[in-house]
Amino acid sequence: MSELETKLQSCFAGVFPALPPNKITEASTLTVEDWDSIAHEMLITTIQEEFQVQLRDDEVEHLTSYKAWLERLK
Amino acid sequence: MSLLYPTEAGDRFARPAAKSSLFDRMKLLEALKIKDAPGGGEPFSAFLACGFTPLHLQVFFTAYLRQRLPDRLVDVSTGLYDDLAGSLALTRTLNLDGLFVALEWPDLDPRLGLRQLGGWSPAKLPEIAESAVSKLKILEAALYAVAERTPIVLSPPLWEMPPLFYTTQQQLHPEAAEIEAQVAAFLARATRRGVRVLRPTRIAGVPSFDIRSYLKSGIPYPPQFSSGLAQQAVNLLLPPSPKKGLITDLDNTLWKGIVGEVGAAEVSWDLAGKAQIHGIYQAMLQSMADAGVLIGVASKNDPVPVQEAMQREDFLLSPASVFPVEANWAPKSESIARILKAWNIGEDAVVFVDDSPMEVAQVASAFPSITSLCFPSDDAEAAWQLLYQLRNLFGKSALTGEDSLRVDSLRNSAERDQALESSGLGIEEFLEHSQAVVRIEPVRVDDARALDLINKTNQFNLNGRRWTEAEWRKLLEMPSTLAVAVTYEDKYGRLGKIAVLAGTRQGSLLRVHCWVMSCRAFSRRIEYQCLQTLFNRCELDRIQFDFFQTSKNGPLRDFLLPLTSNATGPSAAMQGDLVLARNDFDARCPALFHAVRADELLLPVASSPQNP
Repeated sequence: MSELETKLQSCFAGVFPALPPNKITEASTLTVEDWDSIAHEMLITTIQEEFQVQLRDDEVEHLTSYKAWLERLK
Repeated sequence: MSLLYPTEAGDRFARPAAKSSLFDRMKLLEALKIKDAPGGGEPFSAFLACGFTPLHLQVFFTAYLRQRLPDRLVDVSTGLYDDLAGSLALTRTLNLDGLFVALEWPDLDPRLGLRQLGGWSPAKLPEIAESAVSKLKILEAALYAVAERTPIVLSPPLWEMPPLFYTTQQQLHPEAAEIEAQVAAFLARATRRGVRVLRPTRIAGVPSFDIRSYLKSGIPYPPQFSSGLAQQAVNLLLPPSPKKGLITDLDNTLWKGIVGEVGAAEVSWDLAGKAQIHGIYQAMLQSMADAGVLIGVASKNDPVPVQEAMQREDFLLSPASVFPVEANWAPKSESIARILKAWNIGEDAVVFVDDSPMEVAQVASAFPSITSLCFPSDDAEAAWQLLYQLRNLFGKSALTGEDSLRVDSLRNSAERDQALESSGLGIEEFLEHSQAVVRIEPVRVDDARALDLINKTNQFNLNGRRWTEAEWRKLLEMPSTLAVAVTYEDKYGRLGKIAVLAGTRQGSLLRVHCWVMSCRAFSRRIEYQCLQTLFNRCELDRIQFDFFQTSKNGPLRDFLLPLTSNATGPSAAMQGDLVLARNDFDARCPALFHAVRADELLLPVASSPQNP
């Protein structure tokens, strides 16, 4: 697993503590019940802080799955 | 060893002041992990009241509370968005251990925020100011209703007021001035009502406002600012125990110059001598001494020139405020050991300041629990930061009458010990002739000194349990609670309030949950008098102690064990509850010679002074 993936999975684990580690890569707003607007906001801030990036509002709206985040951060 | 300059964070072995402590703060991911880590214990209920989206601030507040209270089940609730007054009203109905109120401009009038478009016409400005003042009164009343029983931390508006006024950003508009003045007056009143108002001026290098996040989600503070703010709020809500004593070097620390070389007249601490920072340090130490901090001197010097310099008329630190003065050529660690003995306090409550990194290192090595700091005599900026660091190490929320008694009390104890040594009297005769008066009275809820005493981790602490202000209040308000404070004086002077005992009554049984006595009150049999008075006045047959052995409370164990050994066996003293029957106490209590003043307790004492 790349450093990026490890870090991203750590962010997901922090925001979704109930999500089993082996389900993180498949996580999306459709599969994770706790992924509501509040959690989405928390995820954005956590990832921005950890990766030291500032993403535009219009693009983070569409980052609704682990895979989408991974692609964006690559 | 890396040495040792002050920082904002107050680290013991600190980095240079120029480096911000920004990176010491928790990041959001770390806070989430701490917040969601499994835990348990007694609940600690806190509330974050704010009109904005609390999201990150709530996470950080919870995480810092959990860090501070690892054995507690921390829960932080929040109120409704845009309804600070409603949240405060809600907190009145809750049983809280702490409340953090984050006030912002829109809480005073929505037009002072950015998420409602009410218009900023010049014609509306007086009305906006008027409305803000009215809202402030409502919030103030709601706040005080909670403050009576819950510890509160209040942060004032932290982001800049929006540009609704027609003046330039550099020019103060009358209505803006009016709003800010009303807020300042409100904060001043709140501090007098016991609300701890936060001064977040030290969240350096981090912007306080993120307009993008605020417009999108109603979250005004960037995460790093939220982290710093939450950290400070927790520090005010659950303040760490302040240090008690400062030991200072003299040459190039308390003054500029080597007094043994240039003489007392030539050392300096003023502008003329290009040594003003040393004068400021002297003034600072006097201010700390006046607030109850013990100030001692450890200096490699001949005592005569030291005494001459300290007697100079322009010396800003009253010699009476400094005790003891160790001026000799022995290693500093030996002087410090003597000072610690005279003060009778733990190493971890002491700060040592010296300009020499080598001396600092030597003391740090001999006393690892002492906070050892360099006085940067050639760097005014670093010395200036040191003064702030000292305030942070010794700061307390409020002063009590006892604070001003401490140095006198220590001197009196030293005189008493000398008198005992030179009197040729046995201890019984000496105590009999000490004219000791013990006053035992109920603890008042607003007695800050009592809670201060209870949370001392000293040698006479029943179990080392730390009580939050809310828990303490709850205990005192229970009808079954019997809580007493003990004050002592004898012909050698006043010790002031030196012990607090609190427990709950069940008929003729008193179960003692906490009992702490200041170490400077040892050897006077005050602890026996305390129990005897409770047995007599409160018609008790048994006293049960929630004893727990800590690393420090050996003297208390050694006091209780012989009194209770028949009833419970010696091993019980190591394990938990101890029960003392009245008959056992009467049989084992030594002669007591105190005059007792305990008029506010339930029943009269048979005679006083008295022998069992």
